[in-house]
Formats: sequence, C-alpha cells, structure tokens
Amino acid sequence: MSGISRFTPGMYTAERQAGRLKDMRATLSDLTRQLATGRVSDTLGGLGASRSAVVDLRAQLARAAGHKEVNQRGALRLDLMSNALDNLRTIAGDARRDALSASGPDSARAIASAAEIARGRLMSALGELNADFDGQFLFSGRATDTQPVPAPQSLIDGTPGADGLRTLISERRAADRGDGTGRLALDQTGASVSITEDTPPTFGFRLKSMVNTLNGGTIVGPNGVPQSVSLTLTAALSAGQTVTLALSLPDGSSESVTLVAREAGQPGAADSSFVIAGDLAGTAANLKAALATAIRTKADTALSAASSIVAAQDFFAATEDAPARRIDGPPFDVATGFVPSGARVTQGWYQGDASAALSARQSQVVTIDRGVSIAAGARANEAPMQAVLAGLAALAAEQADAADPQAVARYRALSERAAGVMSQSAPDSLKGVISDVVAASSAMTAANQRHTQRTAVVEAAIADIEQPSLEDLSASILSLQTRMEASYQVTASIGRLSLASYLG
Amino acid sequence: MSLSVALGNALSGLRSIETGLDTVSRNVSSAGVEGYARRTVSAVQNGPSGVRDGEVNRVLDTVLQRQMRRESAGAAYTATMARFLSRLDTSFGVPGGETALDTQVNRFTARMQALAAEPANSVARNEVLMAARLTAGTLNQLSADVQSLRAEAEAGLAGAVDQVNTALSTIDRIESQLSSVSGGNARADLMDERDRQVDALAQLMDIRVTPRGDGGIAIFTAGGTALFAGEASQLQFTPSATMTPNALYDSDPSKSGVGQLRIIDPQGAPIDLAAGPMQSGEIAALLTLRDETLVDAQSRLDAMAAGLARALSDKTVAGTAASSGAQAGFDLDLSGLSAGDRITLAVRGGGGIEKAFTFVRVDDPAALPLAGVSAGQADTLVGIDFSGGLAGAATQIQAALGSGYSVSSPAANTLRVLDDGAAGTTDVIAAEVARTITGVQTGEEALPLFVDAGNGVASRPFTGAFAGSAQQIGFAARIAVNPAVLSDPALLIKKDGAGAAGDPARPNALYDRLTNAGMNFVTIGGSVDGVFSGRMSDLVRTSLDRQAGAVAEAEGLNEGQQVVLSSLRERFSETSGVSVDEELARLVELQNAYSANARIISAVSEMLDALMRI
Repeated sequence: MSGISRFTPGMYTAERQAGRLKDMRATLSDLTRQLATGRVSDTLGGLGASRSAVVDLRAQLARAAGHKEVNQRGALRLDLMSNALDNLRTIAGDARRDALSASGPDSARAIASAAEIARGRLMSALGELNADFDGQFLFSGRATDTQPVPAPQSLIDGTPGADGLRTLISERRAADRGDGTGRLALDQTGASVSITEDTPPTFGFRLKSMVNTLNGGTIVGPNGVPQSVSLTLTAALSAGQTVTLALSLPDGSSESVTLVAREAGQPGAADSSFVIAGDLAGTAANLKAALATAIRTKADTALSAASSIVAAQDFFAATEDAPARRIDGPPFDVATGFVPSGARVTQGWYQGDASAALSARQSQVVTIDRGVSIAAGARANEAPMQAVLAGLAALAAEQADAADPQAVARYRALSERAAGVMSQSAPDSLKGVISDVVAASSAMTAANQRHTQRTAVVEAAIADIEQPSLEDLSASILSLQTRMEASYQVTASIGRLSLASYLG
Repeated sequence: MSLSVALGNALSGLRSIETGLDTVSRNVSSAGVEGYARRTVSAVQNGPSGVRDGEVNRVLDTVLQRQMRRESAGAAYTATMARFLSRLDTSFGVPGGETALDTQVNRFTARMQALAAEPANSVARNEVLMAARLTAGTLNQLSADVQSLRAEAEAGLAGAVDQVNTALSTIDRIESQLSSVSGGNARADLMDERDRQVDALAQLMDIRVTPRGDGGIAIFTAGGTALFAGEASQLQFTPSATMTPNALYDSDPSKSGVGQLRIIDPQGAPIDLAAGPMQSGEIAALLTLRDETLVDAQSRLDAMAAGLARALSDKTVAGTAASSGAQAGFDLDLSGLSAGDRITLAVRGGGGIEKAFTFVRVDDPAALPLAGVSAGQADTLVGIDFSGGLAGAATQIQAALGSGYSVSSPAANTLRVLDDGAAGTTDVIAAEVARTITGVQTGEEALPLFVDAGNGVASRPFTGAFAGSAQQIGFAARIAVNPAVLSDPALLIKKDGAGAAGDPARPNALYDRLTNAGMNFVTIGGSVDGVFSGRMSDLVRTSLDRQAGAVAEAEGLNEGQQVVLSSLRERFSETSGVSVDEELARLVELQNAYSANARIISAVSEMLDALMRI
C-alpha cells in the first residue's frame, strides 16, 4: 500500500539486481513509448521546467488558429460582398448607358418596355443586396439575421396598408405641378410681366434667373418673399430678341425656357416664341401667355421627372426609425408642406440595422490579430446603394399613357436624371465601398500569412519541448539495450555461482 | 575416569553441533523471509568439561536498523505523495490533448473569437456554448478527480489505522510472551516477528523506538505520545462517508468535515493526532494529501473556475480622480456592488513601498475574518462588512489602510480614498471596483455565462461571496453554463432587449476579457491563496504550472528518498542478510566437527571394548 517494496535482508542483493533490471525494462518501455507517440511525456508534470512554456505556446497556437479561421471566413464573406457590389455597379452602369443612349424610347410601348427592363435591373440589384454568407446577410449591418430588402414589387406598388413608391411619386408630382404651372403665378400689368413662386416655396419650380436681349427690357429679381421676378418693356421690340427664364427643380437640376420675339405672321411655336403686338402692354400679354405655355410644358416633362427622382430619393432615404416624408394632403396640388413622420404609412424598404451611432463599416468589426481589428460591415442603405436603387426604381415606376403627348419627353427627362443620380463620384460611391471591402479582405489575408508563419514558429517551439529527438532516442535505446543484454548475462552467470552447486 | 569424561565431552559436542545445524538450516530456509535477520550460535565452555549451547544471536546493527526505519518512513511518505500526485497529473490530461484543461479553455476562447466575427451565426453561438460546457465539464471532472483522491486518502487512512492497530496489538502480545521464553531460536523468532511489526509501523508513521529492560521496547510517536510502553494504545479513525471540497479539516471535531485521527491511550483518553508534528510515514502523507496538497489542487481549480466566471461577468470601473485641498485620491462608484465584489486600491506608503489592497464586500458579519484566507494575505485581502452601510465600510477600509489615508463616503454609493496631502508620505496610485453583473440583458457587455449550479440550487450567479463558507470553495465542482443562455444562445450577443443579432460588441468584449484584459483573481482556500493580477490565460497557465510543479517535486523527492532507502537496505543486508555460501561453509565445518566428535566416541568405545576384553 505504502508504495515501498518489501525488505528481505537475505535476498536483498538478488532483489536489488532484479529491481535494477526492472527499472531498465521500464526505461526501455518509456523510451519506446516516446518513439511511438513522439512525446517526451504524457503529462504536464513530466515535461519538466518547460511545461509553463508549453501551456503558453499552446494558447498562442490556439489563438493563431482562431484568428486564421475567423480571417478565412471573414475574407470569404468580404469577397462575396465585393462581388455583390461589383454586380451592383455593373447593373447601375448598364442602366446609365441605356438611359443616356441617343435612341431613347419613342412611344408609350417603348417606355413600358424600358420601365420593365429597369424593374428587372432593380430586382437584380435588390438580389445582390440580399446576398448572404452561411445564412448571414451581408448588407444588414449588425442585424445579420434580417434580410435587408423585401421583394421589389411591394416597393413599387406598396402593400395593403402601406404605400409604395408609385403613390409617393404621384403625390409628389401633383404637389410639384400645382395647377399646371409648377406652382408659379404669372401676372401681367401694363408693360410688366411678373412670375412669383409659391408661398412657402416647398414644391414646384424655383426662380433661378431671367435674362433678355430685348430693347429696353428691364428685369427685376428674382428677389423678395415670396421670390418673384418681373420684366418691364420700355421700348418696342424687334423680332429675334429673346427672353430666357432659368428655373430650379426640386431634384437640384435646372431648366430654362427661351422665348423669341416674332412679328405677327411669322411662324413660331407657342412655347418658344411670342408675337410682338402693337403696344407694349399687348406684347407683354403675349409674352406672359408664351411663358405660361413654356412653363406648363416644362412642368409636365422635366418637373414631373424631377418629382419622380425626389420621391424615389425620399423613399430610399427612409429607415425604420425615420420613415419617408409624406406630403400634406390630399389635395396635393395646393399642399405647402409635409406631414409629421409616420402619419401616413409608407412601405419600408430597408429592414437591416440603421443605427446612426455607428458607421456602416463599423457595424461589423473583426479582430484579425491580437489587438488589431478592422471594420468590415456594410448596409444596403448606404448612400451609393440608395442612389442606384432610387434611379432604377424611378425608371421602373414610370407608367406611360399613350394619350399623353409629353410621355416621351418626360421619360427622356427622367432617364437623364436617373442616370445622373446613379453616376457617382468617389469617395461616396459604390467604388468607394468596394475599395473599403477589398482593403479589409486583403488585411485579413495579410494577417493570415502572419498567423501561418507564427503557427509554424510556435509549433516548432512546442515540438522542441514536447518531442524527443529521434537521434538521441535511438542512441539511448541502443546503449540501454547493450547494458541490459550484458546485465542479463552477468545476472544469469552469477545466479549459477553457489557453493551448493559444488558440494558433493 | 577420563574415558567417560571424553565420552561426555564428545556427546556435548554433538548436541551443540545439532543446535548449530538447526541454526544453519533455519538461516538457509529463512533466507527469503521478509525481515529475517541472520542468526549465529556458538558453543561455550560448560564448566570444567564439555560445551553447551550459547545464546542464539541475531546479527543486527541496531543503529542501522533505526536509521533504516526512519528512512523507510520518509520513503513511504514520498512514495504515497508521488503515487497520488502522479494520478492527479494524469487526470489533468496529455498536454495539448483533447481533455486537457488548457485545451478546453483555448478552444472556448477561439469559439468566442469566431462568434465575435459572425455574431448572428447560430452555429457559432452553439459552438461557444458547447465549448463553454466542455470547459465547465472539465473543471467539474477534475474537481471530482481531486475529491475522489481525497476520499481515497481518507479510505487509505482508515486502512493504515487498522494496520497500525494490528501491529501494536501483535507487538503487545509478543512482548508479553518474550518474558517467558528465554534464549534459543524460539526467542529469536519472536524478536524477528516483533521487528517486522515495528518495521511495518515505521512505514505507516514516524515513530521512535527505545529499548526497555529485558529486551523489551517502547514505541513513541515523533511527537512523544506513547504508542506502546508495556501496554498498547490504539488509533481511532472514523472516515467520513463522502468527500466534498467543503469538507475540510478542523481541530474542532464538530466543525471538521473529514475523519479525525486520534490515539486512545490504554486508559481510554483520546489525543488528537493530526495536530501533532507528523512529518513522515504513510499516514502523514495521507493526512497531508487530504488536508493540504489536494485541497491546494482544489483551490487552484476553484480559482480557475472563479477566474473564468468573473472574467466574463465582472464590470470593472476605475475610480475618478478626487481631491480635497492638497489631498488627492479617487472616488469610487459602489452602486450595484454585490457581496463578494471587490474594491482594489494601489497605494504607495512610507518609504515608497507600493502595496495593493483588495477589499471584499461582505454582508454577513459572521463571515469575518474571511474564511480560507491565510495569515500572509490577511492584511491585504480584507473583508469589509457592508451591513452597517457605506460609512461603516469606509471606517473599516480606513482601519485596514492605516494612518496616512482618509477614507470617507461623501455621497450615496460613493467611496472616497485620499492620501495625506501636503505631508506627501502617502499616495493613492489607483483604485477600481469590480462588480459582478448578474443579469443577462442589462445593457452591459459583461455576461454571467458561467454560474454556480450546485448545492441544490439550479443556478445562481457567481459573485465569490463569503457567507457561511466562501462561494469560491468547490466552485470548480459546481460551475455550469448559465441555463438562461443555453436556452437562448442569442443572449451571447444581445446585451439588451433591443440588441441587434449581429452586434459583435459583447462577444468581442468577452473575447478580450479572456485574452488581453488584465484582471485581479483571488485564490482562496488551501495554502496557495493570494491575489493574482494578470490575464485569464496567465491564470490558467500559472495554475497548471504550479499543479505540475507540485507533481514533479513530489516525484523528484520520492526518487531521492528511494535511493537513500536502497543504500541503507543494501548495507543492512550485508550484515544481517543470510549468505547461503557462508551457511554452507558453516555446514561443512559442522559436518567435520560432527565426524570428529563421532570419531572420538567410536575411539572411546573401542578403548572401552579393549578394556573389557582384558
């Protein structure tokens, strides 16, 4: 029990010898165990003074392995992300190329088919943004378990109880259009023609500038509240003299109308020329009528297109916390502002995390090395992605009426604007997002090369401590074998040496 | 009548040769008997004529015998220690192997890291929980192994006590027979048997043997208590049925959770033995294992378990700088402090000596002074009774820090510690509060992933409270993964109800706590207590290193002790061992003497015949 051997004085020498043989046998089996397992010891205690180092090295090894796994998966995730963003860029590029091509749609049917193509592209774009890696959505920020974007149909048409993009566009168009003059009021008194903005000028055109080449044409403004501009004729006009009115549109674009003075009887379009009358007041009346016609045309084309773009931008700027702004109405044509957020339900489009406390990149932080972490998150509602979706959705939502004479011109204006929205410049562009993602991915790959090197170094260090040297081991076994053979022989010979054998 | 004298001489020679033969044959036949000492006998002159049998001598070097007994007690001690500890070493697993504790902790850490990279991945969440369960399970298993070794030591003690009692009563019997047997091989046989029993006793405990009159002996423990002095005492030991980490030795039998070892003297009075200076022998080894070595091993496991739990569940808040006139120091926010939570102060006192104090909140005044804290730590690891409010606690902290500091509570839940200001002999260098977050969704990154699930409670937070016995003692046996997190792995991510599924903040923070963040870990119970400052991974490494170091030390000591014992035995056997060759030579001698004596008888007989024929 106590672990020390029995003691028989008379047999002790023989027992000691047997014990020594047993010890040698035990040493031999330990050496062969080392040879077979490749380990100096099966327990921590057996490793001697280096045991603490081994525990530490193993922890380092585990850490490097952990980093490697995380980085491998992370790099894969980022590659999928940059692939999706590349595809998004291609879709946006194709859409822009089509929109800017000289041969745009020239009929209601062609518009419908162009809108259908835009809808297809919108679906693809949303599909890319719904990309996932191992069940986790790439563009949901922190809410990686939530699909970021719902089906495109519900975005455009809405769902029961929630308005879609098309409703927003029609409301915005009505609000911007007003009674047809884009919320501008025209007036003529004597030789003066004045144009005044709406109060407050939330919707419709804004006056930008007015220039003229008329004899004695005096322009005042745009100035005042509400802003207005007036043109007063002081001398008779000559044919070919022009008045140009520049207007700002809600999407930030501007349009101008130029009216050319002509003699009565000369040919000229109603929205680009006016007839010089016998007196200044008559000419002014003609000028006012021509301006009104030109503004109405612009309201039905460019302004309407701008309304679509602004509505689409509003729609895609919305988040769960800050729903899309909605116009106070109906009626919308006389609306002067927006209702409080959420008063009318709008179909939300982005369901991922939109926490303002963190940037999209910071929404996923990966530790790639001890104390080194990189931001590798993305959200579908980042500005560059929003812009692409807004452009595509504005085009896709357009419905052409064959009876509408302005349908083609409007679609043309819309295409230009959508193309403008989708074209982006660095850094706030898809390209910028892609380069962020690629940089993160290559940081992970580079970190992994370091981890691989570190793993090799640490493994070698562990092997130094834990693994016996094969040369030393075989030398030890050989010398032990020699000693054991000799010991067996000598023990056997001595065992026969007894006086008893020689006494007759 | 000289012829008959010659015949008488020859006959007495033959008789003495018979005794010689008896001794030689005993020596040869008993050569393999344990503890048998070679005997010699020589004839002595019997008065004016003839020889008679001399005393049968046991060839014995008594000095060597005493030395050998002492060393065999030492060898039994070291062998027992080495045997138990190498089994403990084995249960800690092959280094780097699947079952090794550090492998489990490393794996848990790596899983947490993977989760931080993909927080919403349900597979990653489950893997963290799986690794956490395996880590907790390994700690439970190791703790069970330690306790089963303690139980084995307890059972071993019971067995050893039986052996001691048997040996003592055998010695008692032999001693009483010895007086009635005088001389000859029979007496030598009795003395051989007595020595065998004493040898057995010497392996079991540290004893002193002194001779008494008429060849008798007296046996005392190393502490001087008589085991046998004409009458035998008996050892008494009642092993406890079960062994738990909380079952600890106490000199007060009503508080002791383990068996008491006592000597009952022949008059029936009990003497407590464990308190005596037992240094060697198997019983001392078993007592040391049961009450110190294995308790230390348990406390190291408990420290690792507590470290693991608190590393994840603690929220550490550094003090904010505060001053009053020239006095500078810190304000500490103590809101939400649970029993067992800690306040750490680093101060520089007289002579520029830096000292770190750890104050532990205690709600039950009966728990003071802290159980399990050794004397060496008692002045820096101090329990503070909060039952009398913060003002009372401030007074106690003031008392522990000593003069040169002023401790106060200027506002609710605020503790202010200031130096001596203008005098400039003391400084408060740093102050922080570590409190346990006990809820799973409190908005804090800390998460009580490991809880205390034992003693009949399904799950309670681990705060390391001192009430009754310290919660940390035996925590390794009870540590478990929080069932709330097991049933909802999303809690690994969601700090509060509104948390996003992909928010990496919590797993990142937990990973950082496991790898990088420096913390203070308190080790209590056993003789290895203290406050360990470092990272969680350092705590595991240091604890495993100390554990393995204890094993290596025990094995090294044992090897040395066995060598000492072997060389003593070798020397002893040279004197007292039977050499068959020598005995055979003696046989030839006796044969010749027998022939010579017989020849004398036949010569006398011929001479008498010749005389008769006259």
